[in-house]
Amino acid sequence: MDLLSNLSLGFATALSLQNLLYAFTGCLLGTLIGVLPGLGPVATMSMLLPATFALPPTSALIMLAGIYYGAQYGGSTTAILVKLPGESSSVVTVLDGHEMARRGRAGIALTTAAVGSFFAGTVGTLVIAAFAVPLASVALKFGPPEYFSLMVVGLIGSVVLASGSVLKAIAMVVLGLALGLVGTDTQSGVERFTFEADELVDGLNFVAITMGVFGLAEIIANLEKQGPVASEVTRVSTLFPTRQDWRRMCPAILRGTGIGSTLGIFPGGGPVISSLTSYLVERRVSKNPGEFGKGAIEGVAGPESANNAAAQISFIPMLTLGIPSNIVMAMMAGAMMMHSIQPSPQVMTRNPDLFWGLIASMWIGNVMLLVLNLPLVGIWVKFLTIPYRFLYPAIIVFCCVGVFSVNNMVFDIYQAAFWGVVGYAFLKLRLEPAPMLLGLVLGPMMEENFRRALVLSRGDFHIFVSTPLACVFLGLAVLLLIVLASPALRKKREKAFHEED
Amino acid sequence: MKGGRRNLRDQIAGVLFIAVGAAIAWKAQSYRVGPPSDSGPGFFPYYLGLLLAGLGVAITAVASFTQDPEAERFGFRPRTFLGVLLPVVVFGAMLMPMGLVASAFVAVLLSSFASREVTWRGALVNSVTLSVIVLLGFALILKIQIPVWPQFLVQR
Repeated sequence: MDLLSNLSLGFATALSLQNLLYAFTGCLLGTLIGVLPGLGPVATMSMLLPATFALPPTSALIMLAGIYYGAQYGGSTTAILVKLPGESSSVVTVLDGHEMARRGRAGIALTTAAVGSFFAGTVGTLVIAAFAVPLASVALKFGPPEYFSLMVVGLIGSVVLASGSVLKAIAMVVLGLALGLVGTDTQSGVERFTFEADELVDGLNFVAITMGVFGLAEIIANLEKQGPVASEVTRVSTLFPTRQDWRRMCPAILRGTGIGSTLGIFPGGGPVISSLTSYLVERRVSKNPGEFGKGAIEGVAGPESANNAAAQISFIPMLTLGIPSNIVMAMMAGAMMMHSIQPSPQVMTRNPDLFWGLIASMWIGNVMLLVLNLPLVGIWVKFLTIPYRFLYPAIIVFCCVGVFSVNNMVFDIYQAAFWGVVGYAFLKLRLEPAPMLLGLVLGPMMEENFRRALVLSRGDFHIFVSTPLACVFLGLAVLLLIVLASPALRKKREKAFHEED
Repeated sequence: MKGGRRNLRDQIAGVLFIAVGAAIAWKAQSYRVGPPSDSGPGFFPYYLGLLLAGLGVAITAVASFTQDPEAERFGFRPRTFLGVLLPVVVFGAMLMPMGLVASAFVAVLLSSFASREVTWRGALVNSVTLSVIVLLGFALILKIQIPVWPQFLVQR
């Protein structure tokens, strides 16, 4: 059994005392910051990214994954307790989760979310372990034209979930791709778009961009809205669901996990689509759909399982193809590159301990969330009530110190401020930054494969059509674009985003 | 912003994309572009720039005959804007000569102006608390490489 030996290597890596400690620290810090009002997983990860740089690459990724799970869990907690979803994938959790809380069943809602997430996470981890090897071996046979086309599909897919205009989202992708080219061209050694600044020779600082766009700009926006106010925090009663609760939530968890495991592969934002779909499915199959929106336990169990399964599955494209499929994975890829590991199908063979260790630690992270965070929920509730006026100065200072510590360069602090201005402009113009960040990470890879493909074909663009797989991928991308542009789907999309508000 | 016959928000975005795209394409020409079979460092950015500008044209065009779905104004508040970004710049300027503790103190103090809810007392308490947290957390526990105290004190 190859799978078993791989997994045992993974667990051997992940269960080392050092890595367990980092996974634990990650989960704890992630939850801690994730429950703070106004801070989602992306902001949390970008704030804590610098803290992982000093670690060896495997530990750093394990800790980051822990931060991600923790922040996600924190987001669900705030969704249930104070009706503030920390991120878009826990938006539907608010609907029934907060209703449950208002009816004095907050503890049960939290347990449901945690149990569902744990089960889904376990299944997701197994799916990754099973599919990673075959997928990566297929991917190893990809040449430059296939790779380029696959990235086009991924980038177009990321547009599906951007709210608002499709054109604007595509423009943001292109902008991101161009920004990714700043710095030294790997093929010719020419310094591009550096404006003679030595600090830009290695490219733009990824951390400075995420902190500026997701950290600083968000703070300004939050303060303009008077900050997200945790008005009424519901008391957490018993954590233990009744037998009837279990009977109702188990099928929902199974269905949610199934939905998340299949839709999670979808580029762009598997978790959001999955949780939305799961909610709609639960409402449809339920014997008493009237309960939905009034505290139906299935409405928490399904979507929470679905988004966690999908979050897990979304690691697959990043780990096996080297192509991040959403913003969180883009940050993981960014972290890998800062440890000079280029995300690619080769990671599995070149750094097997990192690869399988990360997969094993995903499961361990899920266990930790279940056994540590649920009992600690009382403490998290305390953090929820910290007023924003105490929080935001701390975030500003932590961002400054964090971004400086990446390269020990003051220049990067100014860069963060610059991206804060840009991010603020994006917010005001309703431009979604997530597709841009994805483009930024993929830019250099995309250029390299594009140019290599054209060298192979001696400048003939037909290579993207005459290579069968590349042609299929590009066809898929075109199809996605057509579907995106079709009026019927646009209405549906608008409606879905509207419901989220 | 008036709810007119055009979408001002998107028009601004479109024009910005045109400008940035054109700038990228123009700058890319200063590197070797080359034919597709032997592309230089300017090739990919040149066409990306053109593509971006083209998308900008399309966005502007669509925006001139659609309405902005939001009636909301831009709602720019200079005080909040500066209150968040100025501390970052000041922190950057102070860090090397004055060290972490002093920079954090001043940055937090400055950031208090971003919110109307913060009083003078609250701002001071906030600054002191955070300076201590930063000192303990970053300098003593994480031990990151960063100047902690003002240079003129250390050199003595």
